[in-house]
Amino acid sequence: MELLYGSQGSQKTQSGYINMLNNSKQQNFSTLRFATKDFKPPKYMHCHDRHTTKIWQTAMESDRVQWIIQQVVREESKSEEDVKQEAEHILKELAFTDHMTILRMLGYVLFKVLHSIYHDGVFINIETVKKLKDMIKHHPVVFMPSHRSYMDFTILSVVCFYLDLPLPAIAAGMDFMGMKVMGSVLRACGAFYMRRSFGTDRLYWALFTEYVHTILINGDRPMEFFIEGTRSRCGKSLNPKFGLLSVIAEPYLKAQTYDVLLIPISISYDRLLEEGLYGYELLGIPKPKESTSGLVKASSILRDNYGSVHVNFCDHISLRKYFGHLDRAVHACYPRYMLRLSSEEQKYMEILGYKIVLQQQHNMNYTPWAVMALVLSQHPHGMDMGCLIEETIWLKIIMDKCKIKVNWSTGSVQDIVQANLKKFKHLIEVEGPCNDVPKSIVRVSGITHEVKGHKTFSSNLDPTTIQETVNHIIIGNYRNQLLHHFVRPSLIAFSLLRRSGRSCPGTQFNPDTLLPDFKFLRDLLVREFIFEPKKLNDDLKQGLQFLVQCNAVVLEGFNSFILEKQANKLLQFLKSIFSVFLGGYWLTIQFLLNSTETHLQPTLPGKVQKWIAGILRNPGVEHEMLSLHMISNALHALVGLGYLSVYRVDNQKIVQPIQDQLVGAASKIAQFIDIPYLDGTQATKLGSTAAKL
Amino acid sequence: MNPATNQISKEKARLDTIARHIQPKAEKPKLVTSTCISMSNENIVKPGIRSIPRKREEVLKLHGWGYNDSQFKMNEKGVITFTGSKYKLSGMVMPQLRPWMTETIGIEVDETSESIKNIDLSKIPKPIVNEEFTNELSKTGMEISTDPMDRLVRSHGHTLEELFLLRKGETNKRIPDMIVFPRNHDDVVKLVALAVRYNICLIPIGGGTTVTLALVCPENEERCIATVDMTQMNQILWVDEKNLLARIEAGIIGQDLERDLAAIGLCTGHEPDSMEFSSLGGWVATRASGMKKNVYGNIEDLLVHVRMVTPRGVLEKNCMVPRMSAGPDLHQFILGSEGTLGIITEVTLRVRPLPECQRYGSIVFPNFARGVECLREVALNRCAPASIRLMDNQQFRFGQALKPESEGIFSSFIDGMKKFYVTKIKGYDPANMCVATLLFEGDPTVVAQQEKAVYEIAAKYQGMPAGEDNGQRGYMLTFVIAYLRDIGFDYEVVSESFETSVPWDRVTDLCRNVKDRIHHECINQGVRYPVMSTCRVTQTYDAGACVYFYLAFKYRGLADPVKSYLAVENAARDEILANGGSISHHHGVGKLRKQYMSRTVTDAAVGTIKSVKEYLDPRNIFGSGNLV
Repeated sequence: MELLYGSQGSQKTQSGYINMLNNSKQQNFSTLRFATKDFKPPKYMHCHDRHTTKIWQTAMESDRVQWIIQQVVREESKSEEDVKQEAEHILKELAFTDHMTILRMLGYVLFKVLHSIYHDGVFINIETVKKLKDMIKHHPVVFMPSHRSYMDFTILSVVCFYLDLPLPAIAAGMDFMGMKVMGSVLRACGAFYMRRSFGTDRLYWALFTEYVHTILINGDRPMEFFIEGTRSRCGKSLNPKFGLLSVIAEPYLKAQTYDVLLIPISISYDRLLEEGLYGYELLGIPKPKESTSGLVKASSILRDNYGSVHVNFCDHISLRKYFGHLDRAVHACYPRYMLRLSSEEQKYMEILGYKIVLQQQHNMNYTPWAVMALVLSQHPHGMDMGCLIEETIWLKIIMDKCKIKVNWSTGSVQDIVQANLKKFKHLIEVEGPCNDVPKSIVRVSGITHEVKGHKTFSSNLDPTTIQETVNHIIIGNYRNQLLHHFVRPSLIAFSLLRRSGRSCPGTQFNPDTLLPDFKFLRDLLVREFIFEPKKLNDDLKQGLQFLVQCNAVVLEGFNSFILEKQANKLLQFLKSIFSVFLGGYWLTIQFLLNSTETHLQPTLPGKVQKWIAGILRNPGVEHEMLSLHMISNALHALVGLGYLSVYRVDNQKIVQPIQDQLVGAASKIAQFIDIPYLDGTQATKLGSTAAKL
Repeated sequence: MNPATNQISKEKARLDTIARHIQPKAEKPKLVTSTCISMSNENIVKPGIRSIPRKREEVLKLHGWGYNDSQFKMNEKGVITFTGSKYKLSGMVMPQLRPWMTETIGIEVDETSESIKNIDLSKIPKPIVNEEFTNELSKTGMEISTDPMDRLVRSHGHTLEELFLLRKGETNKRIPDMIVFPRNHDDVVKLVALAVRYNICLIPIGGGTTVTLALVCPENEERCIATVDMTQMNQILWVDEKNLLARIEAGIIGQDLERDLAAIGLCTGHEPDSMEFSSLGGWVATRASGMKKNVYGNIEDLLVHVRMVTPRGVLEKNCMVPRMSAGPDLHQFILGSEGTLGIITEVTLRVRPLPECQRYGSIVFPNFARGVECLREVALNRCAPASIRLMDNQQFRFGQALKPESEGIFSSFIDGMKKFYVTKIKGYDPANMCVATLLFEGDPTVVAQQEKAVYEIAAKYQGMPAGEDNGQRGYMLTFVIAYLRDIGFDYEVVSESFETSVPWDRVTDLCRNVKDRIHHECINQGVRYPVMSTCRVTQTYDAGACVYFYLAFKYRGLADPVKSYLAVENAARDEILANGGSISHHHGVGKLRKQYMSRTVTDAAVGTIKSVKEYLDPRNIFGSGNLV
């Protein structure tokens, strides 16, 4: 993607973007006029107009649903009448409605809200949208936004309304439906509700599938769903979910539509509304149930400035083009309503999922604050301002070289840093002489404003630990936004530094020798970052390219690289960013090795967390390692690698460590990082607590 | 015979045939009561007029469809007329046709492409002659011809690329070296034996209406190619009324067969759209389908016995029974063999008494999908009339454009239509509505019951009866539509039709997707004018339907119109297969769709076909190269 910013980088003149809010102010376009504006979106050419009730009725009458109903009747010996009633009930619970008046009213409110919280604007890359408008006429489209915030779908709907794009039908989680009033309001605006898991309920699955299909095939509205499945609480993209993607792709694969266009959309926020909530959630404090009153209470947040939002419509992916090499005639010899995808189709579906997430990642916009968070998280105990500024500048140079686009606003980096410290003063404290700025100490603030609704007592952690950890987690989350750019070169850095601890300029290496280390680390972090399956070599190549672009290595001969003088600083930096993950993983393995009790899968991460909290003061143990997300990623990765086995006893999933493998993994990790300190008693203690239980 | 009188009587016969399509039989047909089943009852069926003479170019166009005298033509006022005297439409003026063609395909009066009137026969490739074969063959008394014109007119079928070439006055590099006219089954046996002895390549030809390149001579064929013109084998050998059977020579042309049978109160009921020109042997060799198959069945249902002369000998059954369980049905290997295994000489078909009653009808639907649902339910309830066809919106509008200046039967139609529009059609969107045409045939009470049943079902799908005239017109147009391609050629338009069969649940999707694919591919190919892609459902079965596509675009500005056209048709065929449709419902494979055979059936199946060929014809005497 081209650099979308003018070299001056002024937010007001971002080339290729329009500011939805700013624009309207200039034209004296009042909120009221926004809400009452003409709305004439383009329409899919084969779309037959129909009422929203007709949509779910069509799903009800579909061959698939009728077939499943007959199955259920036969196999569960229920009466047909009952099953049909159940089906209708499910559909009504599912379906969206269409009330332009409610929508305009909501539009009015939302537009006002957006104005009041996003002082810097909501930016949209308008050129792609223009192309999109034409495509919508020819093919059904699916919006696939990244998911970082509740604001994602509200912003997207308002943007669609603003740009005269058809309003999407949004596959939303059930939790919203529970909200009084708001549940129905959202429904009136195109949200339809899906249960989080319905893998086994065939009737529900059939109804949901057909409901999505009929909307997609007739093109009543663009479909919108989140490929990550849920909001990412940690700033990074989540691994894609394939269930809904398969549902979306099925009509094309079975030739019910000519094509389906997927539009990945990257929505990036300067500052997340949920930053605090996520911090607590990652520590295991349950999120408050979505409720309208909660929403009203949360409206206190509306007084703050949350900077700007960037909505980036990415280039479309045509399923026809993507699956073009597969012969759809494989589906000709059985009824189309039976869900069967060929193994080839499943394979490419998975790759498609990764492709979408990678594209979303690629089109994110970053703020200087994320860069600062990256620096700050390397210094959990604080650093002086001069150092912060210096390292931020150094990183800016690196990122410029690698064409990672960051919205550096006008002014010197020093000004930008100080402005951002002010903006995020709720997370960061600055201590020291006002007159001697460079000497003042910047550190993560240990004082948090407890978020209402959080029940800290239900946590494994004591309130003080939570208090001092949560801001570290939040800052880590901002840093996480950037990490996918660095992860591949960093895995190379680990490998290069493993032998000597530091890199000597002039050292020559063959990338093939890096492969075993690279593979080990990539397999380990596969849950943490997005790696397209079976693309090991490509990932390695990308990592090397990064290093080449930063002038850390140069290609020498056919397949050999030489380390440059300045390589060491970059390699050490790359290593230190990701050490926290490897450290957390190492600790998780230590817990598993030393604990003798039986572990149930759902409660295991909490136990690990509790144990780590107990050794939080040990050198090398960091606050971030308390993140349940990190711990469960570690556990999943270990299961995936076959270092842990999971089996079922009486409907409970038991996790069984495989000692040899874990020991091997731990010692291997220890070669890459300075492992956290663990004295003998702590390990033994672990054993004895377990023995007591 | 004097060609002029021959011509006139033929025209009369032609009118009679069409009249049968459009007028209910006034009087009850007389039934022949003979019960004789011996070979000597040739006198029962008097051979009537034969439509295609030995010199077919005297009657048929050299580089276009159908009769010499019949064509769409723009008159000096810039209005399109239909010339000649053979059809109801002949001599009529269609004022709306040119504006319609301008609007839908972009033709301009001054942007034309004339065809070369006379092909320079001296440029025709020199024949490869096998003198020993010719000598031996002439001893049998069969007529042999090496006349360039004879060879030329039997060197092609009616695909777009063949006609495009002929219009430029060119021929393929390889055309038949000689034409043989066998007179009966025994002649064919002798011919094949000699061909085997002298290693001659044989390509049988009937009416020559193939649209699959089946008659094209393989370019690399170095042997002498003898094309076997079957049209002189055109007698009905006998009729067995008791068992309702007739043995007919394979070279008989459809309209002659029906006319002769009608004279004794019988019919086969097999009426493919090409029945004016196509032959019985051709129907068997391509698995043809007739318009009225709902009553009479397709060719495979009509076929009771068939003789095929192969290099291994005559392939036939030794009894003539309605059905038998004796291993795989060998007829199924002859049906659709496309001239690759042998020559079909004599066919025994089921015949039926002529129907007492014929009625037309039509139904309008708000959109195509509803129409398809209705046809499906009609098929489900097994109350389908002899023919039921559903045109999409574009064809419906095309039908309107073909409306002649009010005259004869058309005036009543127009009046009917107007009234119909005013009183009933409100609420139907002319941009979406489509029409189904119906032909009921049989016993009057049965026809009445069928009509009631069909219209009741139609009502469920918002279909409304739209009058008898509308239906009648639709069927009458069937025969003249084929002539439209030629006027298209004159105005730089290439057009073609192709067909498929598809399960019911996929019909609507397939039609929409294929039309979309055609549009996208035309854009890819750089077509600068509006593209016409339209379809109709022409046959219904329990399990699915036959769909016919028409495609036309103006090629001005394209470097190689034929290549572009083929790319579009191949894309469309690819889409059809991806949508669960078949390679062909009744046109066959030929050489045009050979490339899709491996996608249509498994390797084992292709191997089976090949091994049968290998056994029956190890030296590839029947070397047309069709099918696999």
